[in-house]
Amino acid sequence: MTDLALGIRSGWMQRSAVSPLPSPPTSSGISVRIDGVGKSFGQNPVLRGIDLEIRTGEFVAVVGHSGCGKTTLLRLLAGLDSASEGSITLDGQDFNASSPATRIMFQDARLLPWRRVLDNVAIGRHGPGWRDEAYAALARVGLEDKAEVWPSTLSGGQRQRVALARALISHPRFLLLDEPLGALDALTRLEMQALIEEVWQVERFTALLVTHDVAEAVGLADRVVVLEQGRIGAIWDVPLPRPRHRAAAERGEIEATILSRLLKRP
Amino acid sequence: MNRLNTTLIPWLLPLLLIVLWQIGASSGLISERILPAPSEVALAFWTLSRSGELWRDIGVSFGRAVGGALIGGGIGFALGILNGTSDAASRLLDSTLQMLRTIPHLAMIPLVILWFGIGEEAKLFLVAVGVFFPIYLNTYHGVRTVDAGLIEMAKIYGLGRWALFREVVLPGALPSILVGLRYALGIMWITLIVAETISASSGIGYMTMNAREFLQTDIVVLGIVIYALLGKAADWTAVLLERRCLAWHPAFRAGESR
Repeated sequence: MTDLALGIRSGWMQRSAVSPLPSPPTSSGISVRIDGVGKSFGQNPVLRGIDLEIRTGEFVAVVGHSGCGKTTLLRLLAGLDSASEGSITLDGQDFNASSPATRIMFQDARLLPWRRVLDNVAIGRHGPGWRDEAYAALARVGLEDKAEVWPSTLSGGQRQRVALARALISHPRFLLLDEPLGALDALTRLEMQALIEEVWQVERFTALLVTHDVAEAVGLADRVVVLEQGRIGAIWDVPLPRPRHRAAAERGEIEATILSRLLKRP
Repeated sequence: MNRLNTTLIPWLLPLLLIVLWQIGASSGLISERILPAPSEVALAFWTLSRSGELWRDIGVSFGRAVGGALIGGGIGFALGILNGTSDAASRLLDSTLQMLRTIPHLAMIPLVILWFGIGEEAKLFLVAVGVFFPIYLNTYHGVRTVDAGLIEMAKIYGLGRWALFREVVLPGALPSILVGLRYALGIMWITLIVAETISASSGIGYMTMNAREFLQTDIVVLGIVIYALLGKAADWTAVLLERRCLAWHPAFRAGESR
């Protein structure tokens, strides 16, 4: 919908003729299949018997109490840890280490404090076009004027925008979001949620969001997975049209149902 | 004007002390043999620098200091990086190094004289040993305490071993390494002063000890002042390095545009 409005922020576009992030194929997301996955740390089972399929370009949110294993699930999908049992396949292929198609946004932005913002966005990029690519990615998150500052001068929300730009620059096919908005104030959160949704709609990557915030999950996701003590407790479809209004009645109903499910079992 | 005031005020007290010292010395209140007048010291500086003797001695001392620091600091840095990045190396080497650290390096002087005589090697060795430990410890500590989240992020973003080291580990350890360097530069001069005072045939320490035999207190004081200035210069160098290398760090940002 607002694809054009996203990339075009006056200043940078006039400076360079390169279009912001060359438009990706209509559906560039990866499909994910999780089969009977379990993970234990020592004697401690954290995840048990997880079965989940994520379609190409789908936005899935995982909610649950602290320690329910949702971050562990995300780390397995990112290849940061390996499953104790079961298998994970991406696009039908066996999972091997962290693939370049997968990117993560962490709760803390994890920017290199000794690199200026532009260099942070371009981390791991090579080749002659990296500056333009990095500028384009920054422009997409609305921070092209911050390219040359140190990360320590940015606000929390701006840092997460830079982290998002850094993830987007390589056109990920699978974006993992580990409570990336958890530390932000309420207004910045809403802005970032809108930004993530817009970017997702343009790039059509597959997204997995781990969050405490049921409203955030219902606002963004096609499906909401509730994790309870390492197992999938329930899955809700969220068949609402986008953009979703916070005040929509159906949205409130779904939120209330999920919340009551979560609160029943402490 | 305000600016001028703030830069001048810290110098008022030292200036006053020098003036009092001068008055005390020239009025005979302070004996020449105990403390010569500042003007005498300045005169000694003038005579010795005109004959070139002073600069030769400073050059020799400076060379020893820098040479020893490069050797000791280089080895300390290399071992700190090695032990910081490799668990196997750390397990093998660190406890031994920590044991050696407890030996005060100046206590080794008799042994060092037996090993090397009183030649250049003895002084280089002592300075190198003195500089080694602060650099090693701080490099090791710096590498070990680099934010694990950043390393994880860099791996996800496809940085190889060398890029990971250059982009993440080294800059992350740098604040700690520079603290080590600053400390090491102080130790460097102290070690050199002791070594040169005990045994030398050139250098500032030699100049001072030689002057003592002839009761030339003005040259002795000059030697002390020069040591102080060299030490201060070393410290300034470290501070400048910190400002330059750590411009990204909010604590070190000096006049950097946002």
